[in-house]
Amino acid sequence: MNIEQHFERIESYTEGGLSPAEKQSFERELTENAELKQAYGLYQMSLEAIETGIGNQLRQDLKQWEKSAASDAAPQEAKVVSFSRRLAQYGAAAAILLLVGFFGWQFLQKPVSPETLYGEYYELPSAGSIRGVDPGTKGAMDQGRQAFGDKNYAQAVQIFSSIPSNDPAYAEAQYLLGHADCQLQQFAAARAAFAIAAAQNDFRIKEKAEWYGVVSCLRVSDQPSGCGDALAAIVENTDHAFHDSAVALQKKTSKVWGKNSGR
Amino acid sequence: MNAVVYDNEQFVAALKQGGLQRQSAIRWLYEDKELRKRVIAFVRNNQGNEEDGTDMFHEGIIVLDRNVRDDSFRRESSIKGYLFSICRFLWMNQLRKNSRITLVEPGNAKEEVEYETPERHFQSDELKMVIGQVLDQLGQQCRKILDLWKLSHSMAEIAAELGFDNDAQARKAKYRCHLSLMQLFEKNPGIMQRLKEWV
Repeated sequence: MNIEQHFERIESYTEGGLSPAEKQSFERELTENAELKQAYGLYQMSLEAIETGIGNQLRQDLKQWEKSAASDAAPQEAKVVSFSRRLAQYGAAAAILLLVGFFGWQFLQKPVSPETLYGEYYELPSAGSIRGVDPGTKGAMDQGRQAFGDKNYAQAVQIFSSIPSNDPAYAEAQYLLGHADCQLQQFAAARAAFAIAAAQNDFRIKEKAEWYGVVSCLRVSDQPSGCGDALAAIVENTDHAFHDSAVALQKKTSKVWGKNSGR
Repeated sequence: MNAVVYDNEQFVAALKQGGLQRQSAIRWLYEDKELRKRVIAFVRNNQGNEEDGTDMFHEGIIVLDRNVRDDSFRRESSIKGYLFSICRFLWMNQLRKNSRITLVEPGNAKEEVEYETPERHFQSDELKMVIGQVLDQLGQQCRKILDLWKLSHSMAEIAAELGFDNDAQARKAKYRCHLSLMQLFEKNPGIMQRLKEWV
């Protein structure tokens, strides 16, 4: 079937770009010309597929927002449980509280270490998600994903580093490279890879890469400049997928990166 | 988090505009805790659990996004009432599939529920599978171009977003990608059989 021959008319018809006479003529032809009708069916199918892709992306975004909200809510739930236990065992708790209060005060005098915060906020992409971002890409990307999924991070680093910048999967390769570097404790390299991934402006990758760039910063020796600024940028962007997590992290890093995270 | 409040018209306009406006409007809806609670309560009262409720809330937003963009939302109720009715419909459908339907309505649900039928965009499992396979074969760049085009981005915006020199190049790329997508479907015997039956 010669789809090209019919494409423009079908698109014009679908988008309401035909004059009334052209529209009438097209609709008449649609009932008489089997090839045109099939091409029109394929066009409708293609629109359905594009909408499915848009829906899949939105589903991914919603899950990401859900995750961010859950990671923020977790510490609050812990507080509620401990309070209810104190009420139930009031007598014993009074003594424990004194001790907890004393040691807690000692603890609060020290800032939370960046290592602890990293452990709290870093999350390794699941096997499902690394195979879901761009399953159409073959060859090196597939091998890299496979190595990453098998926890062979050194090999994954090697493969992802070899993906050229003109490859359509370059942003994803750099993003996974960042995660593989994190697993190998190469945090400066991870931060650089996340920065490159974010700079590709791939909307599937950009915000995740920005966030993990900040998280990996927590483990870079001597806390490089720019970490606080990168975090502040996410905090300022209320639509960012990791906005809520960034707000929580900014409060906790005020002793590491300064109150306004301005480093 | 999201300081903007949308009325129906503003919400529809934001979704149709695409990009950050669409993202922001969807986030506003997603962050409505009361609405989420109502959906979850409805699902829990009807043989589901909290996770099912959250899933329905998400799926409802996805269906609403599409229905609004293609003008299926007739503005007969608030956008939030519409979302609730979609979630309710989705869960009823799920129950019907599992043959365990005995619906318990929340006390005040009828006040805000819009009984438009939001079922028009549900695909069969078979079609979903074929679409998934075809999308997998289409390159990431092509998927992105077509997504942006369908979300009403102009060719100039697509060119800027994807690094084309000008909108003519973006238009050409969109044409090639769209054609490739149709040709991938054409190669699928199941799809072609279905189209032949239709013809």
